[in-house]
Amino acid sequence: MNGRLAPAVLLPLLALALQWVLWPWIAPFVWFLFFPTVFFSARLGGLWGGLISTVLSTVIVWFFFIPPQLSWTMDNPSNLYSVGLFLVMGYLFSETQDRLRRAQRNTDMALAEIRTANRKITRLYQKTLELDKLKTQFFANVSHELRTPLTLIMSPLTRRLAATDLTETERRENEMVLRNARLLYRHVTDLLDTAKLEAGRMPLIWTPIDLAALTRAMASHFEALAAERKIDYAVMIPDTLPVEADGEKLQRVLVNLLSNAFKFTPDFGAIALRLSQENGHALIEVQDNGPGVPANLQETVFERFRQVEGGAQRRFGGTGLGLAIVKDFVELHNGTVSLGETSGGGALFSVRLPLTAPVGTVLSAPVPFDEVIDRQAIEELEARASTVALNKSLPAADAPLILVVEDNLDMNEFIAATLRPHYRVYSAFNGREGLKKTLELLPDLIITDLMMPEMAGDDMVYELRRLPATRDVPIVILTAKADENLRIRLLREGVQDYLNKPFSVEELLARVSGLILSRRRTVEELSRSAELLRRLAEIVEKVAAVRDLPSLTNIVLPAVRELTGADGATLVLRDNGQCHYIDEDAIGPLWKGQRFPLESCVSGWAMLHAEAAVIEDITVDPRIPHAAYRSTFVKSLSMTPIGREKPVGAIGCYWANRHMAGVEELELQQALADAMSVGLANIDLYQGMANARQDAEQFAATLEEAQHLAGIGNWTWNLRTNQYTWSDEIYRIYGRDLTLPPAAYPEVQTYFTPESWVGLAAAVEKGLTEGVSYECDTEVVRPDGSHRWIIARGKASHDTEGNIIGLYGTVQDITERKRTEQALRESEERLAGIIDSATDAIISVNEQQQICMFNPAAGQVFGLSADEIIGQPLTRLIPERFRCEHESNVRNFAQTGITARRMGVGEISGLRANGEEFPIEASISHTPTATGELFTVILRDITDRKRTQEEIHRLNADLERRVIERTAELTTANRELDSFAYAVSHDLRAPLRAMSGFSQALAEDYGSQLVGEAKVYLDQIDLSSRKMSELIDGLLTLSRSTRGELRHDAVDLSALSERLLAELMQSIPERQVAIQVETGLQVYGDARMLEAVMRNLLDNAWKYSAHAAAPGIRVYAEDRGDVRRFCVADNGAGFDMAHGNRLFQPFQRLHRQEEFTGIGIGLATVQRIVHRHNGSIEARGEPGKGAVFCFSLSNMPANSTCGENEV
Amino acid sequence: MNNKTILLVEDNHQDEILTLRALRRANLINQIDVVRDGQQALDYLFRQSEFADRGGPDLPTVVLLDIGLPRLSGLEVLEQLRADTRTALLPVVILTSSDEERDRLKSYEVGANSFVRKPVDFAEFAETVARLGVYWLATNEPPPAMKQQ
Repeated sequence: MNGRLAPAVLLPLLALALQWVLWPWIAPFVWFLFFPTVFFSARLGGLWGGLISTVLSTVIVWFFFIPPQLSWTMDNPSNLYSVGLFLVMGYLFSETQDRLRRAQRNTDMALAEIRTANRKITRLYQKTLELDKLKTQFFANVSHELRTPLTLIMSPLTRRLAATDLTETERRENEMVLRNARLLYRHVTDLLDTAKLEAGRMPLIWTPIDLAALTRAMASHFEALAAERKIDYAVMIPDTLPVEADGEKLQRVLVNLLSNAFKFTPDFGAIALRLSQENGHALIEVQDNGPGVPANLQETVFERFRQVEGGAQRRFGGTGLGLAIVKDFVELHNGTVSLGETSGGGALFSVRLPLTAPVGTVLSAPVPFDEVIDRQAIEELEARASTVALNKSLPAADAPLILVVEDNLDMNEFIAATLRPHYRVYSAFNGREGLKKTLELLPDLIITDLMMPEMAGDDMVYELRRLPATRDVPIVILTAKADENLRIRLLREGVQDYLNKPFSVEELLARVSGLILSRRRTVEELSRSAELLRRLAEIVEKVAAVRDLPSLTNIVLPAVRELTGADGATLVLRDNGQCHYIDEDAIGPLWKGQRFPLESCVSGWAMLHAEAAVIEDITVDPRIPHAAYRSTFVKSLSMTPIGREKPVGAIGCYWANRHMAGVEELELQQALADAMSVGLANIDLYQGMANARQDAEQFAATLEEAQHLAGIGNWTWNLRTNQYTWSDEIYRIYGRDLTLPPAAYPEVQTYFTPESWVGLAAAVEKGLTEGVSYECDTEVVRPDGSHRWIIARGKASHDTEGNIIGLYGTVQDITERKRTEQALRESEERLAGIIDSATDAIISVNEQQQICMFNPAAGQVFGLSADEIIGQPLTRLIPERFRCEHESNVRNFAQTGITARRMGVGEISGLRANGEEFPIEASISHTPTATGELFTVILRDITDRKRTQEEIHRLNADLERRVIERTAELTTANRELDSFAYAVSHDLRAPLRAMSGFSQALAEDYGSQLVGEAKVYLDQIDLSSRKMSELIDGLLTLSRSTRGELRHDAVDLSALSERLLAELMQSIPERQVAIQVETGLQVYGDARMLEAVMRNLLDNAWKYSAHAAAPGIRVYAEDRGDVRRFCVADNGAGFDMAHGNRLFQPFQRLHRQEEFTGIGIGLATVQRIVHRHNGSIEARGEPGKGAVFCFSLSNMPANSTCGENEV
Repeated sequence: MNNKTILLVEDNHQDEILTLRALRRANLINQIDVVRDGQQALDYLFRQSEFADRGGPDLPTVVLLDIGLPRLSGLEVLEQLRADTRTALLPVVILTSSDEERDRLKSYEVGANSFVRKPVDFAEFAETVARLGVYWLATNEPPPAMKQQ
């Protein structure tokens, strides 16, 4: 950039220097040198260069040249205009120059590209030319190089064949090699020619020749062939026809044309070869009566590699170069070749050749002809003729038979020879022959080529597959045609294999043997299938005749085992939601006859899914209940449902070794299951029929029975035959002897009361004459005199013309009904009587709540008469405010289904006619009747009772209140009593102690001073206070025995008694008392209180026996009933039983104080304690004889908590 | 033994006379102070109110305490004594006419050292009181804190 901008700076400076020097000459043109400056600057430096130069130049001119010089001032303002102009001009220069530069650059680049492309194209073209040349050369070279070795193969072979020591096989093989070498040689020659022609390097060697002689020679080669194939071969050639031409080329032309004609002409056809001279040309015509060439292909047959019958139908091999070479060679001679049609439909090839070589051509000496070509052409055509000779296959016993269809003789023989050691081999040489032989021989296998004369291989395959007899014969295609689409099409059409040539002998043998084996197997399987089918048909036939399940099972299950080859079989039928194992090989004893839920067995699975269950390994399949088959031999199984849509069961196969049931096995199983299904349907049908017959018989019996039960008999009367039939029941009703025939019409009169007969006879007459049906209640008189009531019904029967031909009808015994009706009537009357006389109101309503019955009592209660209220709504009897509730109650009641219900007392009220409400008590019942529900209410006016009840309630409440008040009073009193007792124990004692204390102190301190009776008085004070103290103690004990909590201790009364008696004896040791305490007296009670009891009783005994002669105390127990009583007995003073009732009252004593001391509170205390223990106490005594106190305690004392209110 | 005192809490004057007589008859020469209600008993023992400057030892050797007392009952007095550290261990004998079980139970519950029923018979009474005096003053060893005095 800087380099390019440098001139933009330098040029203005240079211009300044020059203009400054030359100013005298330049003035006054101040811009003189600067326009070029800017121009060049722009040219060199582009837009930026131009602009920089412009600005610099302006500055320089302004300062140096615009007057006044060397100053920034300006004399003339017009100079400023020139400055502006210069700047604009400078910009325009710069811009233009820049554009120019860019355009130039683009053009240069485009040019360079074009040049490169040109060079590339030229190089490629040259390369292509070279390649083309190379290709042609290569082609020619290769062909040439191939021809040489071929020649070297053929020559020794020819010699070898001439030898005499060859075996037949050797000779044949050598000949085969030679033939094929020649064929290859000709193909190579054709290709070489083509290559030369294409390269334009096919030189003609012009020689003078006799075309007639040449043609004749060529024609003669084909004569034998024509004779062999019975072809009418006409050769019309003049004696001589000298021409200038390349003899070898014409030889090729002739051979190719003739060979072509022979190829396309069938046996017994006609071929004509004509040579003539015409207008300075030689004319060669070859005519055949083959299929000809279609008009649209007449141009193209001469193209290289083009074949008329393109594709596989070619009758002959070849490269498709023959006619192309003819055309090329003829045209090299400046001749023409054309193709026309003959009248017979065949082809006519015409070749025109000039008689002389072109002017200036140097003629050469004649060259020898190439014999190989001729011979090969003939050989190719001859091969066909000798096929018959090869068709000698050596049949090897019953070895599989193979048909080889191959048009190439050598190939055919080669294939046949390959197969012959193992198979019987027949050969055919085209499709048609193959088809024919296949139908004759019915081979086990066909090997066929595709491209064959007469009928192509694929057409043959199509035909074979169409025919029933050959539909299954395996076909192997063996072809050189590597056409993938064709291969696939054929395989689809039913060929078994498709091999490409060249092929490996081993592979062919292997495939053939494989196919034959599989074919044999297929045939075997087919016959096995046929056998199976036959067996299945047999089974179905047997099944059709089966009448019961066991027979069916016996037919189908063995078949399942045998035909499927399974190791075991099972038959399961669906029985509602269960699998019923009818027969079972695997777990026979365990499962046979058993039922399991469908969901839990695999047969159930098959039924539920209507699908076969195939289980290869029962230990891993989730459909097998765990361990179900574990203990059995079964490893694999399959279950096939019986019935395809709604399976009714399943057939199963079991295998002991792991086995996967295949499609065919399953189909077989399915077939057997179908047979089973058919059999089951048959059984159903049969049983249905049997049942129907049985039903019919049963029906007849039932009818008889029903007639008897219903008391209905039927009869018929055929007027034409005047015959009667009676069912047994009629005999019974009429009381007629069953052995007699039915009674005839007039005679039957004897069975009716005269009054009844009048009506019945009239009805019967009407039926007989007018066909009117009748129904009469009639009274029957039996021969034994008893009466029955019947309904006699009759109806006329008519023939098709409407004539009355008989009567039929029934006789129904309605005696019971009559009686029942009578009884019902009586019952109703009784009921009506009850209802009328009932004191309770009874009202019935219908479903619409309208009153339909209203008894007199109801009339009294509601103040209404029945006439007024019947048909009125019930609500008239219900106070307004209860009506809604009543309706919902009735509805609810009707829905409960309860037949009767008592309605709430005191909750409902009635409404009297005078508008007064009153309480009622009611029960409701409902009865379904023919006309709907009937609700009956029985109700009672409970006004009085209500009043009484209310009074009782009031009194009860009052009583309760009083009881509560009294209880409170008593509680208070009790509490006070408690405090009193406490106070007594404290406060009463202190004064006593004072009295006792001070009287003693007095006695002690002043005893000596007391005189006379003073001392006696003091003693009395002391005595009294002590007595008082005892009283207080007794009272406290009594009080305590009714207070405080009662404990439950086990108390040993024996030990207690012993202890207390010991104390007593110790207190007065000198007393001799006989003690007897029974041991083991155990009671439960409050130990402290019981001690008080025993102490009192023993104290008493001790005390009152004091005066006895020989005192004795006895403690013992006695059982009275289930009550144990504990007794304390003494033989002391005793008491009079007359006063016994006072014994237990406090402070009551039966003895005087001077006899026995005491305060009379002990026994009261004892009784309280015993009572608190829910026991009882009684005393027996006799004055002077002693007393016995016996008490009992309840064994389990009541849990009394607190003694109440008694002292 | 001479500085051992007895506090008798008794509201019944006759019982007081009889008790003192019984103790004297037992030849106990020790000082016997008598107070007549529960509050006085506490005042005496804690040297407060009217007894703030009473002489004699801090605490008596034994307190004979009746239950039925004016102002504070014997049991209430006992409870307060046991609640105070100074008197927590002081020997207290309940001496009462009551033979109610509940009194006996309650007495022991609140910490009485002994429960003695006053017999109505004076002879028995005198003997009982005399034995009590001898027992608590001579036989029984007081708790350690008191022995130091």
